[in-house]
Amino acid sequence: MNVYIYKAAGAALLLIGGAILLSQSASDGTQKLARAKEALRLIRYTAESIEYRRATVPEILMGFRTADELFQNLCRRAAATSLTSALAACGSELFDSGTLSIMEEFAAELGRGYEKSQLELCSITSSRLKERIEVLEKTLPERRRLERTICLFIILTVIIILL
Amino acid sequence: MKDKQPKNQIPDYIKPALQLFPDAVRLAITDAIRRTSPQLAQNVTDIRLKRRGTSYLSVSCGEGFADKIPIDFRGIMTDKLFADLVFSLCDGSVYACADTLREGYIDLSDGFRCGVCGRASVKNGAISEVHDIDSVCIRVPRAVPGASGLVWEMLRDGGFRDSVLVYSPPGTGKTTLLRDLIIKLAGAGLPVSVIDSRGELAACGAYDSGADFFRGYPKAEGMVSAVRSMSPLYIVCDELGGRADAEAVLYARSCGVYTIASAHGGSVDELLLRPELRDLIRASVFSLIVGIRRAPGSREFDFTVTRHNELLKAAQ
Repeated sequence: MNVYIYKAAGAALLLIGGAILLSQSASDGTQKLARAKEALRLIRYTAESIEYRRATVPEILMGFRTADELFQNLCRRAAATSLTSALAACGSELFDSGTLSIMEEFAAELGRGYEKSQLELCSITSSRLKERIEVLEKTLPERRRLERTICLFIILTVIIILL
Repeated sequence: MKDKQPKNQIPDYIKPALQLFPDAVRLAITDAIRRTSPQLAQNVTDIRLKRRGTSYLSVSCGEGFADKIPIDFRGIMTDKLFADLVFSLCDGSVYACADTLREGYIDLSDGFRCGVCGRASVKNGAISEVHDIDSVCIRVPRAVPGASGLVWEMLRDGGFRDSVLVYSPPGTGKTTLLRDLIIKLAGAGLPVSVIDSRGELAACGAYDSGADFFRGYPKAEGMVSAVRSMSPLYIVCDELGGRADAEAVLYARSCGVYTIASAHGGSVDELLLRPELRDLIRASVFSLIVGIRRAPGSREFDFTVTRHNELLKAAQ
């Protein structure tokens, strides 16, 4: 009897833990893709602000509006300090490693040149982000398949434990 | 045992300027001020930073700069730190400062004038961009209440119906005098428009005086805009120069608006060498021309006043 209780407890822990991990992973992948798209929107907004208003970098970052609260906080923080230091502080929570790397390189050059070079920087960064978004969109279904496989594996393990 | 040299307090008027700099630069400047003589520490007018060579603080002693306080940047000032300094002076946005950089300055907030020089890219005979900035000069504004002294009294006694031209060599205090006049005129309830092309006139409380500030406007365009939009009694501008500025002053006068302006020059004769100023004097625009001088170490002005009828004789 005691053995069954322990087996049931272990199985339940496995199921609950697995369910939590899988749900976080699923939403994490979707969020990172959405934030990569927001980053692309920020780059385009930056290019327009430089070309048509010659707005300063703090003005651009404060003026960018997004429904994503974490992204908005990143912009506010970057406006007060710099985009480089804001990304260093919280970039890994928002972006996958590939998108973060692109944004860090963008931040290192943002504001350091005249209009033509800054618009070129925005154009190059936009292209890189578009490619990155395509990669994320392709890998997201594969990731979900992998997650379903892991889920199945966990269930089988539970059954074996209980038998 | 040697007595410890007393360390100076940082004068209050310099503290806002120090906030413009990265920590390493700020510490080196405050160290230089603390270690120098108290008299020099209290009379700093410019902070001159260089990527190569000796950086120093200029000390005004009346006409011209008689002394300087070296800043020890050994082991601190690197190419990267200087580039970061210029970047932060541009508010992290070099492209936004392109127009002013072409003219040799960065428009800082709070009335600081930041002159820069570096390597110019020239296109079709005109400067298109400035790169590798390696020298920065920040003029530190300082309020001197009552600086306008005699000028204010003459304006008041004349019922505020005089245009005034203030002249002196560079560094004597024309801008300081103009700021004090702005505060007094606005404080007396008179409508005053200030054409603040470089952001210097707004410092030391002048911006909060109630005057209307046209910030960053070229002088001529600013004066015309002011006359058309803000119904001023007085227009105040610094460093009058060039045909366009003179025509704008004439236009303002033809609309019943008086001008208070400054110009570089050591004497009325020097001013009359400039055709645009000579034409303004012949047109009876300025009823008063006031030369200012300052004794070494003093913050009080000595005034030399030339009135309209004397001016006409000199201009012929």
